[in-house]
Amino acid sequence: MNIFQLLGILCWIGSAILIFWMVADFFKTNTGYDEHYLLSSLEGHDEISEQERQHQVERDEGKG
Amino acid sequence: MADQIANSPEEKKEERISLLTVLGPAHVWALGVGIVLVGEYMGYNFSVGKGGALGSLISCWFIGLLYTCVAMVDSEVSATVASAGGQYSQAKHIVGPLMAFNVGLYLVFAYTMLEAADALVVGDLMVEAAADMGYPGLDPKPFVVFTIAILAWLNYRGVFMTLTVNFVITAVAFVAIFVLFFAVQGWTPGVSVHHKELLTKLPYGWLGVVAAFQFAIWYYLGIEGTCQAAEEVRSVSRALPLGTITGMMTLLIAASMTWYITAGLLPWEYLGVSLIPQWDAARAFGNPVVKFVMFFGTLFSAVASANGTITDAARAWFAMSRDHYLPVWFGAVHPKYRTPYRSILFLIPVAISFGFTGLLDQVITFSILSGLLGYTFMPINMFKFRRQWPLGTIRRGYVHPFHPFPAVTLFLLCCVTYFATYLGYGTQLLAMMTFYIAASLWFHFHRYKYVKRGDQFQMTWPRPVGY
Repeated sequence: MNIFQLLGILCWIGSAILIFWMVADFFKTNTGYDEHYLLSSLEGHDEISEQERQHQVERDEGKG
Repeated sequence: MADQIANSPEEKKEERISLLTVLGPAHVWALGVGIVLVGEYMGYNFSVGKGGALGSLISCWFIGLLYTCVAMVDSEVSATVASAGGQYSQAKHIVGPLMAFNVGLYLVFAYTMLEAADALVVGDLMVEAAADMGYPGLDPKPFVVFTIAILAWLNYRGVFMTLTVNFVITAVAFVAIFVLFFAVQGWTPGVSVHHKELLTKLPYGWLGVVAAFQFAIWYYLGIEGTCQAAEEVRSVSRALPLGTITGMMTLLIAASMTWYITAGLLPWEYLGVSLIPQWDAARAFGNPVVKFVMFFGTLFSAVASANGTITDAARAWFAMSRDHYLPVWFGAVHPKYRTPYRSILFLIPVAISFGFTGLLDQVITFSILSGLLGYTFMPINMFKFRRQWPLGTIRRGYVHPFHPFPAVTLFLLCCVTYFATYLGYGTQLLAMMTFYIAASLWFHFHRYKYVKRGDQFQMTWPRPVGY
């Protein structure tokens, strides 16, 4: 067996470990948390509007 | 934004989970250039086979113009629509649900096929390296699978680490191109590079130059992927245009240098069919140190690209699921790692199965065609965006100059590239069109009834002009 074949075997073993880890964590997460919570994310906020609102608050606080 | 993991079911119901906003302009650059740079190491050279070395150079610059327009147009919209869905979310807000569904599929398939192609390159590279060292006949499959598995795991564990690693390996791959340039003394023609002897007239005439457009896309395919990170960037209006446009500048330099070096070292007939042209150029040069550097440059570029495409494909799938365009189950965010873990996991076997075909040019073509369809949508999107929300009606993170010339130029170049693709891969082009039409029919007649039509629009924009 040459070094590349050995590397190939190590790659198979490494792949199996990583995929097993991800699948195990996947099941653990699915069962450990409420499904509604896991699916609760919203699309990205309108950042520019939020920044403007924040700046307005800061300006109002400055005036106050 | 909900950052805490709730302890009780009651608390969990009150809080929302979200992706983490941790990325900066360097990460955006790393995502964009990382996805693309492998195109400077392989794939682009098929354009040499289509149109000769000079034909490849001409197509490189015309397609560079196409992508410069893409970067300009896309930066304006994505800096204003900050969503993980990228162009999918843009289409949803500006054009409509059916266009959005199609664009989402373009993204998923373009990036997943690119991921498979990158893994194939890693496998082919290991086979070539083994043969070079006297061990022919190596099986590439374990390297293909391991590449996808380890990068999926990295993506699963968090976007910050994923793109920080990508920044490092992308930078190394970019520098490696300069190492080769300096090693061959590229500024002194005749010493190592022999353009005078190797460059020929256009072997297939100007039709060959047009045909070369299809694979010249490989120099730049994927730079538009920066906008998939929009929901995880700390300052979208600054980081996205900055990362995307500096990424495009990086790629223009890398593409030109790549062509210059390889066309000066290898005859076009060989360059046009090589699987790993940069490494072949280094082998032709003969310096073992340079060969070593280019081996790792090729490896890192392929790994960086696969890494970025996993990030982008998963986010496109995730964004579509969140809006019920696909089963909503895929729209989950990992509570600890804050990544779209179900989407990442789901796309692993898809990429591996395409990687196992070993058909690099077919997988590349699938990716290119999906990307091309996405680029055709962009000028339409841009015109509607400016018409429905003219400048001054909403705050834009970035306004690109010279509108409508970039959008018009982009559309025209896309049309030429469709014709170029038809010349060489007409059957695949028709098959893909048929697939997307079938998918559109499925969406319209079956899936759209599950979409919560009001909930899918998150931007707080005024009513568009004319509505």
